[in-house]
Amino acid sequence: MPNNRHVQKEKVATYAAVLLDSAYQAGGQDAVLQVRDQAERIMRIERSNMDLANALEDSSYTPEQRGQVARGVFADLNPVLTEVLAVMAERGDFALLSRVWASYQEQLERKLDVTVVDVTTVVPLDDHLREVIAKKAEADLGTKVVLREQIDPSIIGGVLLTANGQRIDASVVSQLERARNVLKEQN
Amino acid sequence: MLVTEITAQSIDEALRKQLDALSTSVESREVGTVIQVGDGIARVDGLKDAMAGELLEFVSSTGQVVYGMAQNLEEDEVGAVLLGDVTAIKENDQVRTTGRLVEVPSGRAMLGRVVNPLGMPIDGKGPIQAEGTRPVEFKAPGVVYRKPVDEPMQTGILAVDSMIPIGRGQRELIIGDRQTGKTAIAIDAIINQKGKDMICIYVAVGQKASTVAGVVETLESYGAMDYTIVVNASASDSAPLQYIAPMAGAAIGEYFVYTGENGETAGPDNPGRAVLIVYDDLTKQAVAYRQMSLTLRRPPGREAYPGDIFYLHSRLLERAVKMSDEMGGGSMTALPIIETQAGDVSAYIPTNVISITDGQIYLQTDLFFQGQRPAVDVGISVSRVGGSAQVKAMKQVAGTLRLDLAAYRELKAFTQFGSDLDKATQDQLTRGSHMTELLKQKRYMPMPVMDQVVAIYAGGKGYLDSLPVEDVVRFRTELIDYLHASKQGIFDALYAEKKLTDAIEADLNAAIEAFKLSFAVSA
Repeated sequence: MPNNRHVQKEKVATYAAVLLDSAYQAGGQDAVLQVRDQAERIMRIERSNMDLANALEDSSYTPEQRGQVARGVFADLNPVLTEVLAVMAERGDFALLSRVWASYQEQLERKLDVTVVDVTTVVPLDDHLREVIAKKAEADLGTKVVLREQIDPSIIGGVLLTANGQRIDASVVSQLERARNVLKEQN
Repeated sequence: MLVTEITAQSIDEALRKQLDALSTSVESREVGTVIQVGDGIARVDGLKDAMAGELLEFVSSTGQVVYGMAQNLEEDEVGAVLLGDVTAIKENDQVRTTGRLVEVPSGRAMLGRVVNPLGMPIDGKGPIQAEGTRPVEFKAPGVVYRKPVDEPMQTGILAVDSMIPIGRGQRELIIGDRQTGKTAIAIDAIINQKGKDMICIYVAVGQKASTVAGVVETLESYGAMDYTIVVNASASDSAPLQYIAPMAGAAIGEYFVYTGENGETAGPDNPGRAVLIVYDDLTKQAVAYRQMSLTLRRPPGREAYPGDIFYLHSRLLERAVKMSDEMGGGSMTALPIIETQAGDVSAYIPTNVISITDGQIYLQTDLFFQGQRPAVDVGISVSRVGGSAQVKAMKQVAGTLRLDLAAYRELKAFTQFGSDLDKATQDQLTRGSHMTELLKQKRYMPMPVMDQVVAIYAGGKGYLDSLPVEDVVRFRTELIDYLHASKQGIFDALYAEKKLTDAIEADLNAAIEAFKLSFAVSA
């Protein structure tokens, strides 16, 4: 007899599998990556917006009302994601979104052999640099790599790579921070 | 002159030299995201490889770094407590692991300072150049590194040193209701360590900042801050800070136990130092831990405390130690304080800590208001290991004191019915009332051990019996002053012999008799 923890785990994996398979069937790898990015954005919005979280998780609303809210709020997203989010809201499972996202990531890597690497730089990457980073990441991670590029002037220079919750920090700002700490400790 | 010496080249050289220690390697760290934050607790998504008790770096949207400590390692998230500005961190902020456990700075530079549980100075006297750091959570040394308690730790309080002796490395609980003088005993003990090569640490948990300021002022006025460090997590600090304060105090103390005077690890040729640490009080730490645990959604147990509350206190108090000679012989004596409600020692936390410690000094509200101060109930106060560390002379004079006082209390209760008494009973009552009076002592007036020996000797030999009870304390004070002024040889002999020999006893008897003749009894 599975306990509640196992049931939850199973449920999370099922939502993620449905999301991934449906997105892949609808639009291939591009749709899968689009759903990943959109789901991440929704997750961040839900965490910082109590009203939205309440509306989607509060059991005092009927399942239909919650589903309606989800379909209305997330109408602009990939239709597959909108539908899965609406089902989650109807079934009172919206709070599982971050776990579904983590499971989605893990299945993306396992089923499509793709890892998404977030690359943060001060200036846009040129093709050569993009290729160098992708090759290095592929060699380190042992999977195909999709780069998600971001521009952030606050890192001053260098590069920040994030994949699978691991961050490789080669930014100028953190080097300066380390230098500041060294000088502070010596004085 | 100075200006001409500063050139671009010299600045460059100085900077290069200072930056030698800078590692330019690229660092790889695990990152997570704050899911929820509130009540000083953060739930963090990610950080799958975080360690229990690991120091976490929370980076706010403005770039401010707030430290936290990983507590709950769950399947999908980590529950962490925030140790700094809890309002700076919001949902979606980034969290990084550091690979380090929570540490506090420690060393001689901390003496005389008031610090928070993270070791940061809060006394406005500038930064502390600490010699090293120590982990806040540290496993207590095992049996092979220890030896039994064999050196006394004098509190300077007659009632304690005579009947409830404390040894270096012992854990002696001070327990009682509010306003019974628990802190006073601990402060007296700290003041009495002056010139005894003992480093004292006073950890204030959940107290009013004004109370702590008062304690610091008292210690300063008696010159005790020179060898004391005050760790303060006041009532306005967050529960996690109040929770780690005693452990941070222990970590600061351990530096001195495990390190010799030369800054190297203690050993046979490099003795570790003796430390006295006061946890004032562990009830409030338990309450802070309860709050933290409930907000971390840990299941509540008895009185809503978490299941590991016993382990929290036992692992803290187990860090009190008397190290073996091979390990430098350092010691850490712990005086934890517990506040009871209406004298109920059978509540959860008091029973836990009573069972962990090597004895307890029990303070009674009734005694306090009867004017018996310190209000130590010697009937139920015990020291389980301190006897072997007691000075021989004290053992000789105080050996039967506890039993005499117990018999006195029993008789006193019986004679309250007002029956006629035979002479032997009357004598016993007189002796008991005089001895009880003899144990009264004002705050911040610790007595050297041999002064205590002389005072108890005089009481035990019946020199006080003929005096009015209200003159006993004055007699004690004037007798000791007289002996120091005119018969210092007796004290010199006592300190040299460490016990009452026949010759010393004869001299002492003669001196007390001579003094008694000149003593003016109040009308």
